[in-house]
Amino acid sequence: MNDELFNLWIQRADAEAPADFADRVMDAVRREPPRSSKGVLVLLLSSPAVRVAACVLACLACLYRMAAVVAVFFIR
Amino acid sequence: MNDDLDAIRRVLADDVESFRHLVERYQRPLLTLVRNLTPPNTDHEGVAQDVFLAAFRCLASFDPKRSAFSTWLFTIARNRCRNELARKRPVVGAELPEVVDLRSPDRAASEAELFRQLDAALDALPFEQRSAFVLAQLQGLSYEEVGQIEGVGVGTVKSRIARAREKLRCLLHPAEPHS
Repeated sequence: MNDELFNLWIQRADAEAPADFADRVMDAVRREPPRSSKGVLVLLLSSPAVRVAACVLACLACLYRMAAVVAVFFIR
Repeated sequence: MNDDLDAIRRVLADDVESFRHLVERYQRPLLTLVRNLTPPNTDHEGVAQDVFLAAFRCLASFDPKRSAFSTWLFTIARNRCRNELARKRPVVGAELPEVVDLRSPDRAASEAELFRQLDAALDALPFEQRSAFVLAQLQGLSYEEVGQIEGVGVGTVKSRIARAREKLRCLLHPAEPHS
C-alpha cells in the first residue's frame, strides 16, 4: 500500500474531541438516577456461591410446590 | 491502567465526579472509533456520549481480570455502532467507488478525492472487516485486543484486516496499464 498516503489518511481519520465534550458527558452522568438496589443484586449475583445458593433455593421452592400439588391426590 | 481502576473504584463508591477521568482519557479514541464505524450523517458525539453513559450504568459489571477497561469500553462502543449502522442502513448494498488516478495533473485535488473515496470504501466494507481494521489500524490495538472486542480468534482478526486492506489497496494502486 502507498504508505505515505495511507498514513495521511489514517491521521485524518483521528477525531479531535470538542472542548466541552467531557462536560456534556458529565452533565448526562449527573442526571442519571442514583444506583438502585438492582446494582446490589448484580453485585450479589456476580458471586458463584450466591448464584448456586439462589439456584438451590429456586429448585427447593419448585419441588415444594410440585409436592404440594401431588399431595392433593394422596391426602384422602 | 491503575489510574483507570482507581477511578472505577471511586465511581463505584458513589464519587461520580471521578468518572470524568475516564471520559477525558478515552473521549478521543472513542470518538475516532465512532466516527469511523458509523455513517457520516450520524450524530457521532451523541453515540459516544451514549457509550460513556452505558459504561457508567454497567460499571459494576466490569471485571478487570477479564480485560482492560479500554477493551471493555471499545466493546460497548463497537456493539453500539453496529446497532446504529443496522438502524440507519438496513440494506448493505454499497459498492466500492471508482478508482481515482493519482497520476492526474492536479495531484492535491486527486489526494482529497482519494481520501473521500477511501472514506467511502471504508463505509462500504462489511461491518466485521471495517471494525477489525479500524480497531487495529486507527486505534493501534493489538490483534489479541481486537479479538477480545470482536469475540473471535487472532487468526480471524488477521484475515478480516487483510481483506479490508486488500479492498482499500485497490484505491491506492490503480491497475497499471498492460504493455
